[in-house]
Amino acid sequence: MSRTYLFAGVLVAGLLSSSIALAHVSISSGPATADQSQKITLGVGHGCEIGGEHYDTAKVRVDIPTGFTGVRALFSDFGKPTLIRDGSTVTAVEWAKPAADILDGDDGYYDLTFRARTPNAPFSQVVFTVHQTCIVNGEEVTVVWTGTGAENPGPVLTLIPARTNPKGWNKLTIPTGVTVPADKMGTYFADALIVWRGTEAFSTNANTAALIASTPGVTALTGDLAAGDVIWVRY
Amino acid sequence: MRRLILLAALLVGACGDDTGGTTGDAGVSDAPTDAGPQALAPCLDTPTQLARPPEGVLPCDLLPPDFAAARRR
Repeated sequence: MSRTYLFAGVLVAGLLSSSIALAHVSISSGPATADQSQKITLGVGHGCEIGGEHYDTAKVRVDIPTGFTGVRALFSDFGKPTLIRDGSTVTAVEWAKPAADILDGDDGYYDLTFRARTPNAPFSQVVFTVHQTCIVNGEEVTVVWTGTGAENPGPVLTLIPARTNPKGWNKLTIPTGVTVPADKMGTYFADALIVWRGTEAFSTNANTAALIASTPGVTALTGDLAAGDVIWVRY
Repeated sequence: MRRLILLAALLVGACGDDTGGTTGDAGVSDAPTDAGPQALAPCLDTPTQLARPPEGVLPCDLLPPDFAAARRR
């Protein structure tokens, strides 16, 4: 076996092993409000694992999904950002680390932040595609985090509705064409004290959920929320 | 003149000694130094005094503004 094939083999093995990396690139800034300009932060918890060796991250590129506008990147300790455009539309943001700053091992955690106006799509989730590059024996090796599959899932940004009253009662109507599945209630209302539809109530807090179950005249909200449903949310 | 002297005496009495600590207020400064369980204490030390909802029923502040109307429907 020639050294070239051996190196290629190591790379393939490395890519396979990196696909079962310990942690994903994630959204560390939490859920984002729909149709608002705000900062979104990617958390890069690990570098690349190639052939049993661990390497520091040298470059990260995040593709900007359709519907995100007004993109601006924040400078990071990691490195200087570059906006990649198609005409006037920003299609990606890339942060590259100066070669001299690359660590000898995979010891760094990086927050990479950009600001953008999110799509007007409350109660939805957006999967970002992130290209994570490490330098292995002088060569760039890139792992692509994308989709929702189990292998290399991309970071998922949850879009929640705007709040008129951040610390109190909010009356919302589920928008036309939107369904909030029962199994996503905890995702979209993670920080709500309680959610009401008529006399049905939901809470992610186990103690409150127990009180819902034991309060006369109140039933647990266990079904989907459908378009047109009026709900009260207490934050 | 006697009225003036009386008034002066009253003023002196009103503005004079206020360090006696016998006003009857339940202020902290009046608490006995070796007070027992009745003394003021942080919530961490007196968890049973924290506000709690009635057992088994949602507290009123978790009921939505139109809850009564919703029950009638």
